[in-house]
Amino acid sequence: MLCKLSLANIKKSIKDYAIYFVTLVLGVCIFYIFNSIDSQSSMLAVSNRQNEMIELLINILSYVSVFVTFILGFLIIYASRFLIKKRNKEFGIYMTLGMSKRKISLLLLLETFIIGLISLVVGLFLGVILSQVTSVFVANMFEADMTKYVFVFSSSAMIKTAIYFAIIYLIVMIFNTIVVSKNKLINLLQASKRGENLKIKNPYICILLFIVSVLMLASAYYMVTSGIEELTKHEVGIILLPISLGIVGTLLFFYSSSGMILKVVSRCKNFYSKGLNTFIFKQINSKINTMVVSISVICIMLFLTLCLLSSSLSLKNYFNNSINKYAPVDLNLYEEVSEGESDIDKFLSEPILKNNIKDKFIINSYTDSNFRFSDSLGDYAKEVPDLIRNHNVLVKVVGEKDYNLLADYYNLEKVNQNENEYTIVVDFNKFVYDESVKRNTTLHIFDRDLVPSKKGVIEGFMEIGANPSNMGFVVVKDDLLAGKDVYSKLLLINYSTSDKETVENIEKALSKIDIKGYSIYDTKKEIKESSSGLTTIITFICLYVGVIFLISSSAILALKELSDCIDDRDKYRILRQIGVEEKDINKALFKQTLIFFMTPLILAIVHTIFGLKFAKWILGSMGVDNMLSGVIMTFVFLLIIYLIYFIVTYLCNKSIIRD
Amino acid sequence: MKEILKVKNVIKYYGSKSNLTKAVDDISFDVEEGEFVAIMGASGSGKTTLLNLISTIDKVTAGEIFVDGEEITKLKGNDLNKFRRDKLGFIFQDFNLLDTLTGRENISLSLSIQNVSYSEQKRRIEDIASKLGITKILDKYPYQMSGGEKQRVACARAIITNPSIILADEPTGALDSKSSKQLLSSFEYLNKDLNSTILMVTHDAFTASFSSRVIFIKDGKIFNEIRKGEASRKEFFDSIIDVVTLLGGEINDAL
Repeated sequence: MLCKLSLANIKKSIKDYAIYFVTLVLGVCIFYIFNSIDSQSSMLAVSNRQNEMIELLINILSYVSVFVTFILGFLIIYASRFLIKKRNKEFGIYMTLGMSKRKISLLLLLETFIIGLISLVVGLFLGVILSQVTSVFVANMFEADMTKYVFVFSSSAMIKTAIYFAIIYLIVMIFNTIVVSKNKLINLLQASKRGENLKIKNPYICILLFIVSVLMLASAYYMVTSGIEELTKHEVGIILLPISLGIVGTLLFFYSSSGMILKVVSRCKNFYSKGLNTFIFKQINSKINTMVVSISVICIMLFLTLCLLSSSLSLKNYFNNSINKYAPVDLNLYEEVSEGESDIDKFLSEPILKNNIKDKFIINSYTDSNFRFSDSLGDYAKEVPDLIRNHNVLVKVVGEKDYNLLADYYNLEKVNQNENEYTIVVDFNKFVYDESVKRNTTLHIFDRDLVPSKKGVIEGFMEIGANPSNMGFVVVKDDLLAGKDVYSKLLLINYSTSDKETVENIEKALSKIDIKGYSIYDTKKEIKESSSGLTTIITFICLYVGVIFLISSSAILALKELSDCIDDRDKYRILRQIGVEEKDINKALFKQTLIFFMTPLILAIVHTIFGLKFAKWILGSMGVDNMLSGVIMTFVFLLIIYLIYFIVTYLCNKSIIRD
Repeated sequence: MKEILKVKNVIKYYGSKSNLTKAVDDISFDVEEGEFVAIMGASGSGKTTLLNLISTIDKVTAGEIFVDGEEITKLKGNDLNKFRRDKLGFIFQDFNLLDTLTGRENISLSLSIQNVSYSEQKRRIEDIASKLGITKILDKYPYQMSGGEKQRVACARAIITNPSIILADEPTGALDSKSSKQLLSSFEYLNKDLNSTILMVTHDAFTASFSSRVIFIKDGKIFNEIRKGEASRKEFFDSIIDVVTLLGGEINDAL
């Protein structure tokens, strides 16, 4: 009996369940896709290094999935609360007919179970299909070749999805049971009649709070953009200050803005009293007032989505381009000079490498034990941020002749300086040296005083890497180094072959050579793989979390809008009775839904503009300078998802208010 | 006298052939400009159905209804909404005020959808509010008003557009006797001083006694019709009671 009733109920309220159902399906689908990365990558031709990266990604994803489960759990509980609220009267009637609360809970349990089961099956089905497409995307991200096409199905991901969602549904069921058993019959029956608890806020307090919220947001914005130098002088924890200012500011903003805007708009009498404008603004006002917290959470989630996606996509784009710039040679070996056989000789005597060398180059570096990082900055050292100053290593000194050969090799700017002058070559935190040279800092190296050359600072590096990481070395005239001991040597090699297999064989042979503890060797291939792997991991996690955030916030908006619309059916009936034309009613509904959807998005976009400036500052220190394409991609993606939810909501609303 | 409402052989059937309910069964009557007509009948007699037909909320099965010379039974879609907007004023038992709007905004809404300018809206609202004695509550929200106040705001909303006819469905149904009396005095005022035409559905003889004519409906048919003429309200009330007694026991409980 109960089973029949619950099936009938679902059929009857299919419209109300639509958004809930879509959200569940999307959640399951995305959960599956991201958790099936392991089987998706199995069809890729990946090297060991890439494999390690994929394993790391899968590991991280499994932790992130727990977090995602929490978010989805909250979302589903929130959604089911709406559905229950809507059906209060129905439950009331069951109770007057003599159905026990236990039975009603059971009924609800069955309904949740059926909906859950269907959404799980549909979601998994969609997930399996979509993961066929995403595997191409995965291959692209890891820059791996798709060797063969196989149908990807991850049973482990499926089981995991099923278990995680079963747990969510179980919690939803418990939650529903509690809600139903707590309700009183009279409240259930009169649920629709009880007037909404209208809270009319004092407009002057609203205006005051609005100003406070704008000030808070503005100061948070200032701190992470123009005031950023100030911020970096403090402990790392100081970043919590703008964050909490932002959160409280957002809450206050939504608490006060609707009342404030209403006050302002109602001053524009002619506009306010035109057509249905009064009705529309009052509707939005009461809506936003009843969900200040949720709308703030949505705004912050949208903001995070925008920032995470844009930054990670920019990072990804950047790394793909930067490797060729920062790793211009195939191999480099750094060795500190010491007793015993030199590592460089060991490498060069390796037969397979010997046969495949196109060109090679060795550059010598020197150090003065009295010349450390802080010395290289002179008086300015006291002013630089702790984080940079603490890195107090010996700074390498290179002869001008050697450097200019290297510059030829790497295509860097050459040094041309006079006697007793120095030039700094740096590409990480370059601004520090820019400042110190501007102050005409005199350096004391090997018992000689040197002044900055005309050029002063050159952007460049010695060891290859994925991104700028050269903290700086000094180029001096060669005669200063005459008779000094070489501290370290750097070997640079270009292969004569680009054949993948040969390169792999060379590097396999080299990796077997036993090198000294202080020696470091890097190859372009490895740098490429690990850096693209790392950025891919970051991009993946950001995509995963971003998509979940986006879906959750759109779903909450849509659900709130729909459930409100059901409560508001009466209002639209009244409008019809007093003779409002159908097209005006639809227009009012459209405007109201649009403004409601736009409100959190607009503030989130403003947050993002400043948030991205901050992100650019952080990423900029890694050398990322162009974020535009990442930002555009993110916005397009966000707008598509948002638009889909908006259109579905509007159409559902329209059919709800139809007679 | 100008004829505002003409109901001609109107029939409304519900259900299928095998199970037919004749809610309104061949009713005809006219309402002239400035008349205050009450329609009385027991629950289920078809009076609310009749009102719904006149207000175009429901469609007739057969017959014709003319408002201001226009045949409204032929209207469709948007013309219906336009007709309601321009020709009708509504007053309902449960007030039907929008709870998110203040009294003033509720009243002005019916003007703003007619594209009346703000200054004109303001003037007309102030005017009607002082006449109905609701100036003080204009800026309150419905939940801050008493039932009687809400109904007078609804009255103001109905009259503000100068409709051809005001339709009232059990306007005193949700009011206590004091508020009822206040509201009915307002109706009298609208009718006598502003020359509004009012058609009111009620099952309460006291409410009906404020009108100038009462039409009694039983089982979807007109049962009787009495006019107040020169009689006092008390005398009219007594004659209404007489007809109610004649009608049978069904609506005695309403007294």
